[in-house]
Formats: sequence, structure tokens, C-alpha cells
Amino acid sequence: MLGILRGRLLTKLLKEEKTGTRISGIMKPYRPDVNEQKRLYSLRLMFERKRAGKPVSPIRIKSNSEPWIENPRTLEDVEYISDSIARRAEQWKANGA
Amino acid sequence: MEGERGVTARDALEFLASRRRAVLMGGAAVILHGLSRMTKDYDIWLDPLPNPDAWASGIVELLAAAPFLQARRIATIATGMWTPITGSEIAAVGSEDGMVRLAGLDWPIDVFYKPNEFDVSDFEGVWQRSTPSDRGLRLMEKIDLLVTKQLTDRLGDRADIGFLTGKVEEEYRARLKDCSEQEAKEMFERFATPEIAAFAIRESANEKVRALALRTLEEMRTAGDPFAEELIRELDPRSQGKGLESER
Repeated sequence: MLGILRGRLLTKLLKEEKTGTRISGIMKPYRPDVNEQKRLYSLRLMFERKRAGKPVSPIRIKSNSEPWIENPRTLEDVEYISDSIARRAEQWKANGA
Repeated sequence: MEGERGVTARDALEFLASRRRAVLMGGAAVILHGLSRMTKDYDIWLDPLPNPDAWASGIVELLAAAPFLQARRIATIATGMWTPITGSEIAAVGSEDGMVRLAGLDWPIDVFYKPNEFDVSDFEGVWQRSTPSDRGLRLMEKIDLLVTKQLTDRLGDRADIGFLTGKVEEEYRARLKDCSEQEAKEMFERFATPEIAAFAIRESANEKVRALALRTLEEMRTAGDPFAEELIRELDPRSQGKGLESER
């Protein structure tokens, strides 16, 4: 009985593999790259050393930037955002920034 | 700006998505997930199953419908040039290089057969996790996008990784406080950072989830992650980085 079931399962898997309908059993996991983590950690240490002894300001300025498009949904939105940033960067460069 | 004969890259993408399943990835996908940044091209993963010929069929059809388009092979370091290829070469080049470029439109389109860090057999799962988007495309899910950028060493990808990681961590924080052990296991199997593991140790109401998070954090420390090392020390200063006895 078990052999028959195993055979059926194998046939099903082979069939699905061939037609490409089987969902990949293993999902690729994401873990931060250790070398990149070390780079970020050493950057943080560098900033901490630079700040050593200096009191931390109690004033925290929140982000005041406005998005080009609040909730981009379309490819037109993508191109508008990308082009707008590129154009603005060019303007700054032209103005000697 | 439009390409020759008024056909845009968006039209070409719509055509491809009408022929084969197509998942938007790369910079355009990151923008649609909410990061304002520049990009110079579109990247899509076209269904590569069951074989390279099937993958190439939609591209070949597009080239026949829009003969001003040109398929190109990725530039090599030696030449720095994208080499034009014929329709009959697309399947072989895609399977060898992992992608081909379509030029002649307002924006180039890079069509992937096998993106970085994925196998061809991963497409089905990536497709299932993606969400409907514009022009018949689907938008690659954030963690899958992170996977494609995991081992690249490009400056732009670092910014994308920071943004996407932050977004996923935000979603994980909302779920980890009171999720089951099984749910947490599935979540950590897909994505984990030292910060999110430490969050679960501090905030989860479930003892087993806290233990799982600690094991995850310790694995990261063993792999050499300095943030994991520091967080373990912070969570239990007495342990001196040897682990949290109470959660074992």
C-alpha cells in the first residue's frame, strides 16, 4: 500500500516538475551578509568615537521630505519618480552644487 | 519619451506579460515598494519553465512584432559592450548568461531567465508570493527582492537592502509579538536580522518564540555578525555574550 502511494506521489511530482507547476519546496532565506554587517558595525563605532564625550542633543529633527508620489502603483509612476530625481540632480549640478 | 514608432518599454512589458508570466524586479520594483530612487531600466523575470525555449518564445514574438527592437547579450568586462544577438540565439544566451537585454525602447528591458541567487525552479514560488501590478506584470515580494540583492556589492543595492529590510522588519514587529511558534519559525526561515531576533526575545508573549529567536541570534553571532554579538550582551549583560540562560 505504502509502495503504491509512494509511486503515485513520485509520478505526480515528476509530472508537475515537467510542467513547471510544482512550487519550489525550499524558499531562499534572507540573512544580512556578515561582511556588510561588519562594515556597518565599524562605521557605527567610528561615529561613536567621533562623538565621544559630546552630549547628545535632545532635539530630534524628524524627516520632512515629501515623496514624489505618495503610493506609486504604475510603471508611469516609476518613470516619473526616477526622471524627477534625475532632473533635480541635474539642476543642482548645473547650479554648481 | 517614447521609443521608435511610439512604442514604449511599458508597452513591450505588457506584451511580454500577455505571453508569459512576468515578475517585475530590480530598481523599478523597489520604487513600487516605496523607495524614491533612480533607475535606468526595467528588470523582469519571465517564466523560465519548462525550458529556455519556452522562456525565449515571448521575447522572439515581441521581436517579430517590433523589428526595431534589438536583443543583446550582457556586456563582458573585456569588451564593455552589449553584443547584438538574433532571435534564435536568445534561448541559449538566456540559459548561459541568465538574462538578455532588449534595446531600442525609451528604457532598456533586462529579461531574466535566472536572476542572481535564484534557481529556475524557484520561479513558481516567487510568482505565488508576488502581487498583481501594472500592465499584467506582478511585483516581486520584498524578501525575494532582498534575496536577489543579497550578495551583490553595488552601492545602489546597499540602499535598497536598507530600505527593504526596514520595511520587512516593520511587518515582522507587528506579527512577532503574539504569533505562534510555527508562524515565527516560518518567518525566521525566510528572513531574520539581529534586530528582529532581539525584538522577538524582548517582546514575544510566547516562550517558544523567544527561545527560537535566541537560537537565531546565536547562529548569527556564530557566523560572525557583530550586531548579534552586541545584542546578546545587551539582552543579558551577565552572559558576556554566552547566551541568555533564562531563554534556553
